[in-house]
Amino acid sequence: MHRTGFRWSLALVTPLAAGTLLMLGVAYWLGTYALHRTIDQAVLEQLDLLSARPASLLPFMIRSRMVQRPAMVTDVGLFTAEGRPMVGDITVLPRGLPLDGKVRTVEAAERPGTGLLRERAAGRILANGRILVVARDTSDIAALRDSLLRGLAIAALPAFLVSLALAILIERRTRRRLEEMRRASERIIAGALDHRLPRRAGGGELDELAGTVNRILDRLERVVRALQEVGENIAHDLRTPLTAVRARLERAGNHAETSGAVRAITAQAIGGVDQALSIVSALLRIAEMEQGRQIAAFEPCDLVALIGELVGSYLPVAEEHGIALHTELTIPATVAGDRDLLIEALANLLENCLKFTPAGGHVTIAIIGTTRQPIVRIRDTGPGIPPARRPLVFGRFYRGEEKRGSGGIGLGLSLVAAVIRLHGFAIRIFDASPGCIVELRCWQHGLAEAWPPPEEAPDLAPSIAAPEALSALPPGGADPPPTMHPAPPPGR
Amino acid sequence: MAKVTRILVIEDDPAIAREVVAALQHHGYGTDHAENGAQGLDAARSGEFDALVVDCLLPECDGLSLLRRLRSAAVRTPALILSALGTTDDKVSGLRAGGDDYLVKPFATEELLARLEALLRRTTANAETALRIGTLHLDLIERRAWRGNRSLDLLMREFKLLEYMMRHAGLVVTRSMLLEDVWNYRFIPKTNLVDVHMGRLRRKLELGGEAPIIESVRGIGFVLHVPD
Repeated sequence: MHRTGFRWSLALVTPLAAGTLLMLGVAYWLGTYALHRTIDQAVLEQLDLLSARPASLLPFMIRSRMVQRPAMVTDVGLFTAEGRPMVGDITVLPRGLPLDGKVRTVEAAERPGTGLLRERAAGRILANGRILVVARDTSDIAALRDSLLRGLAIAALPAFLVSLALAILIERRTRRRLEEMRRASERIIAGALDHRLPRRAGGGELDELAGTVNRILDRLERVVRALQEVGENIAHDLRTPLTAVRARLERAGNHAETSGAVRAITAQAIGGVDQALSIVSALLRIAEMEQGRQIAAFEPCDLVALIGELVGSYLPVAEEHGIALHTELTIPATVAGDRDLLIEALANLLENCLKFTPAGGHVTIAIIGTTRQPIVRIRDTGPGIPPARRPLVFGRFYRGEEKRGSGGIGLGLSLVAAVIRLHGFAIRIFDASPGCIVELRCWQHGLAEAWPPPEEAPDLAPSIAAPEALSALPPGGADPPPTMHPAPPPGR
Repeated sequence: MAKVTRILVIEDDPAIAREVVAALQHHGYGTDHAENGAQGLDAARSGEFDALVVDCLLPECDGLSLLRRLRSAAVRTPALILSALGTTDDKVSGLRAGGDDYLVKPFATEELLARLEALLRRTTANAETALRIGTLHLDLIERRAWRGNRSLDLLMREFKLLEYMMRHAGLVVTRSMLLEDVWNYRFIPKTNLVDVHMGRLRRKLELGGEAPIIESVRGIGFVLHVPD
């Protein structure tokens, strides 16, 4: 952890230091070589220019240069063949300067008012044997270079130090945040599923990341809670019949006198075991569907015929319950699906309506929407489902609280949900005040080529799980949604 | 004395095999038991059985390929497939492989017996145009029904139900058999769907004060009595 942090700040500071060094190098190079080249050129030019003049005119020209001196950057000296100065600003022949016309650095002799100077100088023996020397003082360049280097040192060093400090600060802050996140993660790993990664105001990438991770955790928490609930509900729903079975068998073993009595008790016990087994088999079927294994069996299913047939079967059942069962099947609709599963899902929804609608009520199954996207709409005049419970009814083992213990197994609607998920359909619950509307949005057969169908299809869970999605979406029917019931009737 | 009906049970689970064999013997069948596919195949090839009960998952040679090999060897003995829980898509492949009926474990013994009876009774040719049992008469082409001289006003579903009961006359027919064969449903409704329809059919059959001809068999299903 620490080493990583150190490396991190090192990585940040190294290019900065390298940049500073490079700048210093450029300044030094500029002061030492680049400007010297320009000087050397000027010296040579002057040497060539003057040595090309007629020898008789040269002393005069040099003297006139001296008058214009402020304009001239080079010094000139003319010496006799013996090295005595004749005319010019250079009064002493630079020691050790080969008179070959090449520019060299020399220690110039002192001149009035100046100390020892470094100069770039070149000398040449003229045709009449005299010696011409041209020189250029480099002390100003050296001064420029030195002040440049000094300036850079003054400016760059603090900048370097400040950025180093900043880097360390940022690194430590980041390390602290990462450490906080790590600790939070450890807590979550240890089982604190409601714990979240810390976020700070002001955003930043780490906060965005923390936000994303937190959203994942929200979703996971919901799933885990649902699973826990399912586990508890399964245990409860299995224990109820099995406890009864156990009690009955015990009674048969201890008290049944006649074989008839034993047989009666055994029959009851078998009923209880069957109930437990039906729970297990329903769970397995849902699990199987959720793995999406059955898509291969999809075929075109005529919804109108399918619903017509189903309603024909359930009409007598509805009549027995004193409920009027209507259909409105005017829109032709064919969907791609598993016929058996679609029938089972619709039958389940229908049976649910019949179960909860009081005698004298109505249940209507209609196909609305378009042929392209048909919607099966089942409306009843039952007690309705309060909005808060709507997302729950498709979960495994949900049933209205007051129904708990009445023996109904809350797997029917979760099986419906599994069938719908498998088909890529969507289901919504609305208020019909009074009663309840369930809408099943399907896809026309043939649109299924790009299987699974767009967006909401592959994962139905969010639209089922998020209550806002359920209440926000208007029913897809021709008639507008009835407004929310003022006082939601008791749930199912 | 009538020949004993012989049934071959091909099942590797000793507990289930023991129960099935016991139940079959209790009901007067002669039974043989094969513990694996290879044994089962050899025994079934002999052709001396009237029906087979075949488990789907078998060591050495699984139930489906066993059936496939039997059928390709022209052994037509009716076969009832037993399958493990929660593998619905096995049903289609089971029937395609040459099975005649399909039962998911766990099952009630009565369900097994009823289905086996129906298999043993099954006649291959269903080309009749009319069915007649006692005073009951069904015209399969015109879709009309009579009890004696009284014409029965039956809905489509009731007609199909009566036809099925008449084809299985004298046999116990379970609710799940009716759901599968008359309704084509692959699930068990939570409502008393079958009973409601059966109740209406029975009322219509007895409307003229005739004696009941279809009776409930408690906890199992229904039976249409053949008059002596």
